[in-house]
Amino acid sequence: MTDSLIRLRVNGRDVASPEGTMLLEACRQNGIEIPTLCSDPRLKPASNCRLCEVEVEGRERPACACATPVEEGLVVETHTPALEDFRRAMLERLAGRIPAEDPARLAGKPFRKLLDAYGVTPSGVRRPEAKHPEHPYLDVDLSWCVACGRCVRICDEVQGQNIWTFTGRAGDLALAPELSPGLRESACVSCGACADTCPTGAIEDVTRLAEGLPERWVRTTCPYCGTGCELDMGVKGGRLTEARPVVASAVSRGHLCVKGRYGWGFNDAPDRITKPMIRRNGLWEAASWEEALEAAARAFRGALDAGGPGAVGVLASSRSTNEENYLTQKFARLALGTHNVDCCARVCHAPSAAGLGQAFGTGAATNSYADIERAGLLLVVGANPTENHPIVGARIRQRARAGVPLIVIDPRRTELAALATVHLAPRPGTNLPLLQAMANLILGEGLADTAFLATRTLNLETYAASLREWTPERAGALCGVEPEAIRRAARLYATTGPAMIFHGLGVTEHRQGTDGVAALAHLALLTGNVGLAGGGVNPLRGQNNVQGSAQMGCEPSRLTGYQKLAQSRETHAQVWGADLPEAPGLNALEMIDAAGEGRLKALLVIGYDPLLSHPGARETAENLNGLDALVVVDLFLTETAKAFGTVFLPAASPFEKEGTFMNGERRVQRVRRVVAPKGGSRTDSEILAGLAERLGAGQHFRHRDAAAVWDEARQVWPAIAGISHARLDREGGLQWPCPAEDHPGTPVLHVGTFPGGRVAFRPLAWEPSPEASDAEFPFLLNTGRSLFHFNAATMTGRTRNRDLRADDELEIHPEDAAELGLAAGDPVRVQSRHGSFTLRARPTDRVRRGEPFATFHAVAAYVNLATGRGRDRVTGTPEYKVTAVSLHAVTKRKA
Amino acid sequence: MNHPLPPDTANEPLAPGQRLPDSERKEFSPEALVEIQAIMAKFPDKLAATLPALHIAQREFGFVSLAAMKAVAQAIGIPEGHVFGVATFYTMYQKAPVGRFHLQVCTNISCALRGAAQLLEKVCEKTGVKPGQGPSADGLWSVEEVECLAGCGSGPCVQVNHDVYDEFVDEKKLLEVMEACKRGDYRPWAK
Repeated sequence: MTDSLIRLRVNGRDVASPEGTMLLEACRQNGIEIPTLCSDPRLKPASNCRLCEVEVEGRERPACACATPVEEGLVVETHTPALEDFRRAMLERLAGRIPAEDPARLAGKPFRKLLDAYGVTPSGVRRPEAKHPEHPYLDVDLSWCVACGRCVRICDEVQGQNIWTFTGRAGDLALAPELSPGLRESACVSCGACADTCPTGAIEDVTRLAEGLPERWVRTTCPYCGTGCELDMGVKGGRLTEARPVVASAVSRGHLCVKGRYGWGFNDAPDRITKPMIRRNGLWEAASWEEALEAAARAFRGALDAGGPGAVGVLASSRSTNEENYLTQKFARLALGTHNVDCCARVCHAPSAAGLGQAFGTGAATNSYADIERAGLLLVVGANPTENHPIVGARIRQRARAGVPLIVIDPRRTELAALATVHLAPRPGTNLPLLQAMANLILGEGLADTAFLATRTLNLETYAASLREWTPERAGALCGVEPEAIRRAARLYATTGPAMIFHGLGVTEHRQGTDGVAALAHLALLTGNVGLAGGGVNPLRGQNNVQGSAQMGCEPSRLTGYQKLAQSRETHAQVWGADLPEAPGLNALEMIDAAGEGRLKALLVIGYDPLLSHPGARETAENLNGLDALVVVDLFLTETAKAFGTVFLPAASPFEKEGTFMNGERRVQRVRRVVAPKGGSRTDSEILAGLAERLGAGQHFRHRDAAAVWDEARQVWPAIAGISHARLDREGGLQWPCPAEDHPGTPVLHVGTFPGGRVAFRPLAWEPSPEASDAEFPFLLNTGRSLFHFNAATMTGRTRNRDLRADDELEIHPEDAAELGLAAGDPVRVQSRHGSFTLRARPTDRVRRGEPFATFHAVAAYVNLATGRGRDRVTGTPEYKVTAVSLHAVTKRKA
Repeated sequence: MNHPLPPDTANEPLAPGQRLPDSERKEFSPEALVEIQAIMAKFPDKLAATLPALHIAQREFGFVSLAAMKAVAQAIGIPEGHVFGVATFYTMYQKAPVGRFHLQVCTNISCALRGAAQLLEKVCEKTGVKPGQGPSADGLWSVEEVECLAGCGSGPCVQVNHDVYDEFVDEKKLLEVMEACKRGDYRPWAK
């Protein structure tokens, strides 16, 4: 599509529209609404309903406006009496299929509006057999279906699941294949796209039918993963009643997954805590905000008096806004006087920030999601985006289906791996040899981009020499991968440009996580795939604002902007009007360790559950037990709070506050207050200000609102200076670096040059993980997430996602299962050198022999009882992905 | 007179004594997969291989079972839902088990004027099965009432599997055809 305007004449009026626009859209842009039932901006034109037929001068028959591109000089009539009669007749025919009863189902739907406009009333009857079995989120009654095909197309063209199809000759809608008795038994991922596009309510949200149309809509950003989809939240009676995708969103383009679309029920969960509490004599007692804040402040004062600033620490929340994270690190540094502040990036993508920072000079994704459609090849490493970043995953799948080569490196045969051109399945813990061998091949076979290497990199010779030992044969033997497959992957990646890399925790959560990320960065450098659209290295960030949390300075050695302490100390001190502490800080894991050693006395934990999510849960518990005070700011009584909390301060949810999130492609997007904070809960900003006041640092936290906090952050971090709340409200999300108000933001990093000029290759030495399997612990346990739940399931576990996937499961190869005498659903005890947990077995050939995989969501499973002490050598990120274990069938006692 | 389907030697009925393919079958034979690959190579878009692959499925599976549709989707690499939609759109893919000889009687206007209804009744009487009721106990016969078989000038017509008999089929000729079927040389005058 180009910018040139095409001029045409519609209903006697001259109008202009960009080339490539369809008549339907061109007319809409010019204020002429043409009736349509089957078109949706997310879908290719189908011309099913024929309602948009218009008369085009010189054509014998009317043409569908949805599928007719604008042409220079076209003369179009859209509402002649003949067309209008035809439309009424078509609507009457369709209305004959729709039951006259229960008009509520049609309320607010496009079909209702058309019927009203043409004075047509439904006259059909309900067909009992057309009602589908119950589903937690989707109510399907095909009595209302007019066979427009939008659900079939959106399930195909957007989600790529192909659950819906037509059957027979009469345009009857059906589940595909019809052997599925209902949606729940099918491969449906409950993204709700069909219900969102359905113009009649034949497929509708359960909540819409129960609650009716919302009174108002508020646009905000999804609080789940780092993709950063936009949501339109519906509100009725002061409560959330539904979430809908935003078609105009640059990120999600009108699509959502089961978490964003339906996972907002936690906001009103019955066990949400909305009053402050203080633990007295082991029991939680309700308290006033005044009492609770005073108790918390007293605890910190006590710890500071007893042990100095090293005795207190703060765990910030990647679930909170940028503004609150900015305040959190400022609180730690000014109110507590310590650099002991960290966020959960420590347990996920800290190696990405470190590895990409070392390699390129900026520790963030180089490119944008929009580049998925520009890439000539996609390389997905240690990531399972169809489950964990479903909107990104769906788009990668669509590209693979369209024939774009896809390489997947993952020990498991994930959905994307099953679609891949090449799937390399290395043994857990052997990413580095595999990537080194690919790099060696690219250099050895002369496939590297020599011009790029000559002008933009340094230290190639030393690096190349360090690679020579990594032949595909040597790496293949270590990784358990065919050398020929490594060759194929390397050649394909090097010769099909632009090639875009996505990676996930399968790269970072290893002893050599940072090196793994660096190895990926090297591949991109070798092939010149940096600094161009459709290329780069892109970590798929796990939490909505984990990028923002680290970027705002919730890192012991980094300040706002991920700037090194030494580099930005002065700027911060100047803007803050106060000096920053001198002593270096501890990271999240070190803080917990220090608590065990009695060095850390008081800890503030915001929206974080270290007891459940840190590895080696038993040791974490012992360490937390060493604290004198543990102040928890959260929505729910987390495992950490239950066991060790001394003060609980109830926080406002992401739907109850103003601010911004930063997604995995460096895009800052607005978060808006959809509903008022529930009960007595307060925003983190209010809580931090209240604590600071009582710690004698109140003057640093008297911001008018979230925008004022953000404006302060813009002063200390030049890369976001051009992004204001007002601009975000006006233009939508912006990607940093955006140094000035008139700067458009940066979709692709490192075009032409790197922040430090040229970048140097760094030789990487491989060290095998000590978590090796042996006779006693013959299996290597891998861990991860499922589509339906998010991390510790604090949020999704309080929604009906529970009904879609109730329990965590241990995926195990069928032959391993058979040898252990395990059938599907049998309990199996997983024992490691560190501890054990019990899960139900799910035999599947998605995993290889000897490499079981556990999801870690629910408290009941407590997978982290067994995970170990291994940490990334650079960032300290735990090695969640490799634990040697033994498996034991739990024998059922005979009655 | 041309049949709307292309000539399909692959769909020849089984020889007497040969058994119907197992409908419990889940996968294509290796030979069938080779055949499907060859078909796919002819088209720029793999979706185009759906129809011929379904014919192969009907031959191998005995009818287009759900397992057959899944196998087709797998073999071509397209969504199951698409195969299901196509298979159910076309009536000449049998979605339920049929007899070794599937007798189809046209009852459209031209044939009807020359006694198609009576012929259909006769077919049911002689085979002992009713339209859409599945194969007879011996597995030989099934009956279906169909739309125009393109023999309007010489109806009533009967089609056995994919072969049309359109020379004014009456009871005598019907019995001739059925006898020929049982003997194995059922196509003496089929088109």
